[in-house]
Amino acid sequence: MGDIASVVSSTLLWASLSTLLVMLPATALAYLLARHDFRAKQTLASLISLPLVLPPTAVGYLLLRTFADNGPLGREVLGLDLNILFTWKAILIACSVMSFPLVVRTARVSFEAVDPRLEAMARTLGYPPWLCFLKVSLPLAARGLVAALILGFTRCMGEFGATVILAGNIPGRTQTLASAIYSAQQSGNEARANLLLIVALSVGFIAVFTAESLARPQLQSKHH
Amino acid sequence: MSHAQLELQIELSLDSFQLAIDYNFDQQVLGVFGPSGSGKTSLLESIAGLRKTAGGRIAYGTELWLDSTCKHFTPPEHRSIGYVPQEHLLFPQLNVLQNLCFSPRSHQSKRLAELCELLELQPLLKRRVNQLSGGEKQRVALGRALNAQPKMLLLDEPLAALDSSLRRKILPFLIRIKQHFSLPMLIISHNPIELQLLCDQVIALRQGKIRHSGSALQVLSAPEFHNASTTTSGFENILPVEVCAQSAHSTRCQYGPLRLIIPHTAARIGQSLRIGLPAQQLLIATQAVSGLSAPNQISAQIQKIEGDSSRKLVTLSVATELPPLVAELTHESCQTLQLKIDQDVYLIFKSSALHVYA
Repeated sequence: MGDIASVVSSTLLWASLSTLLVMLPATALAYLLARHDFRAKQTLASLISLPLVLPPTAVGYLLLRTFADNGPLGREVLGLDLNILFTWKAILIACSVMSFPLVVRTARVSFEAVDPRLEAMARTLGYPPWLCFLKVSLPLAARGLVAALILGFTRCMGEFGATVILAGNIPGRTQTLASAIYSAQQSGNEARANLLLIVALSVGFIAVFTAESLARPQLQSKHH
Repeated sequence: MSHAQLELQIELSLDSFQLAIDYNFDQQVLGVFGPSGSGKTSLLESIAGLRKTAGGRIAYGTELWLDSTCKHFTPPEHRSIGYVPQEHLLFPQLNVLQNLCFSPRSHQSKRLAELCELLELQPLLKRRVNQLSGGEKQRVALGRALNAQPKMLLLDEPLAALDSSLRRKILPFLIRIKQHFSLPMLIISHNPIELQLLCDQVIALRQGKIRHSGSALQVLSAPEFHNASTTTSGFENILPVEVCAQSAHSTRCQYGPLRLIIPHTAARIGQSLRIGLPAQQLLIATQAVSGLSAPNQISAQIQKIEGDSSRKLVTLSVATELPPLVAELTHESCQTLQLKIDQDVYLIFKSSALHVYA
């Protein structure tokens, strides 16, 4: 029982940290994609979306190769050991990479829903572009951005394939809610698997329900 | 009164044509007139600095805003322009007061109280933007632009989104703004009444080029723009008059050397009014007529007859010191009456045909 509590609390902690890690770059990138046209935009947008369409194990394997001793971010190339593989840091990296496209796409849509002419008005009223972003675009997209982060958080909570390859499934060290359910089911411990399932269902439902209710009133107010 | 000169030499590629404007202006209010899609809004956005691809030179007084030969571009936040777009574009997350005080330049403005009075905004201050009517949004957008202490005001069809009764209500606010702040303004308008009431000069655009410029009357009566200016209610002559006598049912006014009888209006003797005389309501008689119910009959001389096979615009001089009046007739009546240039005729109109503006 105490061990289930620790699996749940560390999964919540890792998912929260990954979401925080993703928040700023994903928001910045979403705004860039929503507002600016540049030559490599299509390529960049497709690259970012890849983790959504690839098998998570493929992304995990790619990350493993990247951080392996002889990989581009490995010990031999960097000259120091980041000590990432099979630690909690690997979980954060796997979760961030897997949730990043989801956060960017949702945030991009909420920025695109803000009338760019409102930003132009703020310019004529005396604000430079970065203040227009802070005073107009960010508050108007805020609900959508929070919804994007909640979706990203739930993606992290449920992440399995990439995490298992990069961080393993070490009980007490790198076991998450998802990998704990897998282990319990594989070892035939049905009672433990059921309990973990109920926790997963509740956390998932609360998160999606909150995200939905944040998105709804925004749609209604547009029809006024 | 003389104002700082606005120099416009703008070149901008639009979807189907090139906007090419070369015009200098040093009076208070410039009207921009023309069919939709002629580049009017693009012109205003270029002046405001919202069209980065605009080339050429824009200068206002001693300030240079754009000079593409030396790659100079003053960003919109440093031009101090009050821009009121057609759709108001109030910030929906803020209430009316927060919208009015949005600009960083509004903090040192002592204008807020003055503006609230002038635009009758006091009862709206706590309201949310989505609780405002079209006319109220328009007044708030004007207030927000003016509270940012602009050096120039750009108005994109300030009355277009409003129905005709609301137009009659907002127009006096625009006249008050013109009189109260001696601020240069550019106004895009399709409305002949607005243009004549507000503008010192009017330019007419078509396909991105200036086709006519001059007084509102000169531009609007150009045959090329006849249809554009008379689509809804028709051309309207605007006459500045002075009230000289009141009776129970009518008001007598002096217009130059002429006496006109208008519907009874609550106004002091000596007060200035502007009255609108729709061109379609003017009757032309080739000789003086007696025993008519219409009380206004003035002698006039035909200067110009223009138009197509259905409608004719007849320009008539009524007195040497007054601008000409425009009457709209069918082609048929022109022929029946055998109207010719320089012919002496009589203009007849009912007092109830006149509109009284502030």
